[in-house]
Order: sequence, then C-alpha cells, then structure tokens
Amino acid sequence: MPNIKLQSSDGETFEVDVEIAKCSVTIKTMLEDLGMDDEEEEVVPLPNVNSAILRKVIQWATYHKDDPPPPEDDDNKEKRTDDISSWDADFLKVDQGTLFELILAANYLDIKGLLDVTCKTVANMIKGKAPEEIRKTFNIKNDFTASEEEQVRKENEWCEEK
Amino acid sequence: MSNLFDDYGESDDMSGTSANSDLNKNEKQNDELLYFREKWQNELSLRTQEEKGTHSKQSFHTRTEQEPNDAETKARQLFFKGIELEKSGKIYEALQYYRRAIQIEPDIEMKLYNKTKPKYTEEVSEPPHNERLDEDDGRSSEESDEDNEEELLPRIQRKHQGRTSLCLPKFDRGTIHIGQLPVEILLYILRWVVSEELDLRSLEAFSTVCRGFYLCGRDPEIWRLACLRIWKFNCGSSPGEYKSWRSMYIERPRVLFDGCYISRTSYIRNGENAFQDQFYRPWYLVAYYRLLRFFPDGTVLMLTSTEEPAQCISSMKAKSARYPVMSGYYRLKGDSVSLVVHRQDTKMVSQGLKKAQKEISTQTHHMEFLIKPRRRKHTQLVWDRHSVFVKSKNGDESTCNFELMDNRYPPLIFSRVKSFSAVSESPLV
Repeated sequence: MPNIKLQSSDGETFEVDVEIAKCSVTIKTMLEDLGMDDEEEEVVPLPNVNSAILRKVIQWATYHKDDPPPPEDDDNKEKRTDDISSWDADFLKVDQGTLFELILAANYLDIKGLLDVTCKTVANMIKGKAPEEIRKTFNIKNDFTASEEEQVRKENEWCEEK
Repeated sequence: MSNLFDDYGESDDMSGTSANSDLNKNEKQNDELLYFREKWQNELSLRTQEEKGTHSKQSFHTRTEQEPNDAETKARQLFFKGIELEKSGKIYEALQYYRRAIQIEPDIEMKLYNKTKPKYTEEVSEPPHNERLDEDDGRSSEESDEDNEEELLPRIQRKHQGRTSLCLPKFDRGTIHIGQLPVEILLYILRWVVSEELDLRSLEAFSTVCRGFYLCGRDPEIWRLACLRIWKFNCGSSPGEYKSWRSMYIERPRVLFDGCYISRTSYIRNGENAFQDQFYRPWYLVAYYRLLRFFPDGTVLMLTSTEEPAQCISSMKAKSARYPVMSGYYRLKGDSVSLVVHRQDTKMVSQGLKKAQKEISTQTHHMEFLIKPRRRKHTQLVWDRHSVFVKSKNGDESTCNFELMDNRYPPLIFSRVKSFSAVSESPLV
C-alpha cells in the first residue's frame, strides 16, 4: 500500500496509508484533483490541524478503515452504532478542549464519521441537563439580563412539568 | 430595487449626515444604475459566500476588528451621500460615491441594511454580524421599559450582533471553548441533541443558557424538521396559522414522545365461596394499567399490565416490542389520534427436529383518542373508540366494539420517563 505524508500545523510529518488518509474527503479530493498519488515525496500540509489532534484523527481513521460504508437500510444501522460505540467512547475520553479540536479537525478534513461521533458526544453532554448544569459543564457565562432570562423561561414554559 | 434605498432614506435618525425629507421623492430609474447595482450586488454576494466558509467566521471578525472604525463611518457617510444624490437624480455622481464607499467597506450595503431594518423575522437563522462592536458584554441593567414591549428574539438578535463568538467562557482555561465552534457545527450538534426522538425539551434548556445559544435554539430549520417529522405530509410548507414552526410544534395537537400515557383501571370481581365457610364470599379488587408509548416515526407500543408502571416501563423503552408489549402504528388527525395495534399469539411447535413459531390467533385493536391538555398541552388522551378484531386459529373472524364506560376507560395521562430521551442515537434530519 502506498503511503503519503501529512504535515500538521506545527510541522510534524505523519506517514499514513493512502487509503486511510482518504477517509478525509478533503485529502481525497486534494489527491485526486492534484494527481498526487504517484509522487512518493509529496507532503500534504494541513495548516488547520496540530500534531496532537492529527495523531488522534489518524488513530481514529486507522481503527475505522475497514468500516463498511454507511448502510442504506435501517436494520443494519442500529447494530453498527452499537458495535463501534465502545471503542469510540474510549477514544473520546478526552478533555473538552481536545473534543472541540477534534470536531474542528473532522469538519476541516471532512470526515463524516468522526464528526458524527464527536458531535454526538457533545450532544449527549447537553441532553437532559438544566441550563445551569449546561453552563457549568461547558464553562459558559450567562449574559442574559434578569428580565431576558425571565422572558426566555416563560417562552420555554410549555415543556416544563407541573 | 429602490425600496432598499428608500429604507435608508426614511429612517433618518441613524446618522447625522443622512437624508432630508426631500429624499423620499421617487426618482426615475436609470438603466446604467440598474446594471451597476446588479453587478455590484453579485460581487457582494460572492464575497459573502466566500466568507461563509467553515473557518472564515473568525477571520472575518478579525478583519473587521483590525480596521479602524472610522473607515466604516466614512464609508457610511459616502454611501448616504450617494443615496442623497441618487434621489435627487444625479446618478453619475451617486455612482462615484457608492463606488468609493464600497472600496472602503465592501459590505457597507448589508451593514446599513441590518442597522436600519426595523425588526428581524424568525427566518433569520444566524445573527448577521455587523459593526456594532460597542455592545456590553455581560449581564447589565441597561434595559429600558420599552424594551420589554418588544419580542425577545429580535431584541436578543440585535444585542448579539457583532459578537465574535456565540458565548463567552466564565473562566479562562486556555483551551478551545464551545463558543469557538462555528455556528453551523453548533447547529449540527443541536440536531443530535434533538435527535430522531424529538427531544425539544433539551433544546429549550440549551436556549436558556445564554444569548448566543438562545439564537441557535430558535433556529427555524430545526423546528421545521421536527414539525415535518410529526405531521409529515400534513405539515405544510409554511407554519400557516401558527406564528412560527416553533409555535406550531408547541400548539398544534400531537402526542408527546418522551414518556408514556398511562391509565389505571380497577374493577371488582367476585370470588368463589370458600369451602369451609359458606357465609364468607370473597371479592377481589383488580387493578390494571394501560400504557401507550408513541414514537415520532409513527410506531406505537401498548401494554396492559397488572404491575405498577414503574416496574414495567422499561419494557417500553425499545421500539421493538417483546411480549407482552404489543406494537402498531398511529396517525394524527386534527386533535385526535387513531391507533392500530396488533397482538399475535404464537406457540412453539415442533416440526421434526426444528421448532417453529406458529401463529394461533391475531387480535387487532382499533383505538381513537382525543388529545386534550391537562396542566400542560397534549398530556391527556380521552377514549373515543375502541374495537377489537379477532381472527382465531380456526379462521373465525369477529369484531367487537366496546362501550366506553368511564370506569373501564379512564383517560390516559402522560408521564415523562427521563431514560427515554437520555441518549441520542441519530441526528434529526
């Protein structure tokens, strides 16, 4: 299998199997459009991804390289998410900053699977929480004025249990 | 075309150099001007598209911040001068001013438009960013009384303009903060939050966190998708009689998904005389529960059980029904919901070495309920019809319509089950 070199924003170079690198639509398009396949010495610069994150991304892509393409029918879908979730859950046991950086990298590199699993992780951190808990979880400053907050609460009253 | 410019002319309180009353006169259209405007607007939209790229938001803002604010004021003044000249018919001179204004600030038209537009509609999904960087950035008490008259959404949109990020960290921890994610990613995360199970309650909690999240949580597209998932073909292409997709979701009769509708029925059954004591005749108080759980995709689960709901609710968690849970489908019709639920009695039959399930009889329940409020909307289902169609193993078919006596058919009351919406499995699409 041919390899290509990916260079992170801080200058570190990673040698990766082309097939693995191609799970990134960005890299795939780049290789196809520029016809870079044959050039052994070619280095693909990734100015938006630092080496720590790029290492994680490659780790994820390597594990998932044999994943079947997303199935069309719903029956297989449920099974698949269950299968991969435990590895991904371990993989995503990282601090929030890293998680968000992974999201940005997955978005930039256009890796749907990684974007989904990271966004899902953040979503599950939000689900079922009260506003104050969300603020605490994500370290967010409440910039509502008291009257605004009251008004928002009123607008959202419909889903409160009485 | 000229409406846009009239807007600037009419709101004459926004800048000292702006229009006089004579600007409101209609001017005659000029072909060259028209052509220029078209060309110019194309160019503008191209630029904005370029800037809408993923990471562009930050760069866009850094750029505006670096530029001295008075350049923008200058551009604005030039632009107004252009409007003034155009209105008085001096089109060539006006062109020169417009051109100079654009050279200084390419987005000047959009910025002025945002500033002078009287109110934002719900359709604005993302706050337009313009030059108002002078906003307060904390909890403040600058509220005046007339602010309270105004709707909250446009007010918060206005206050949020010019912010570089959706929300600010409370403590600086030196790592990437959720507010640094681009808006489109945050909206994608919200689709995961809402998920196929339509957990709009979590979205509402999210929107109570801060101003930026409030704006994301009011994104009309998410609410439209949620409505579409509930009413499908009957959803319509616009909110119609409702103020917004969100208000359709809240107001229009539907069933709730994040819990079960439960009723308790009790009756008295006479027992047999005791063998030793002929005078003592026991009777039993029998109580059973009916549970219904609806899914946004049209599936419904029904369970009739003598166990307390707390014990049997876990069997309603998965969509795939296992005995004794029956499954079927439902349809919303105005303020009522009709259900068809099947029950198949099967028996294990030995066929040589293999065992196979053999159907011995089927029961099909047809039910109709009226959706009523009870303390909050859509939380009560009142029986309207119940019939059972039975096909027994020898092929006999019969239909039975039940009389809906109140004591046998109490309304089903909604009760939320937190675990039903605890984890997201797939995003709302």
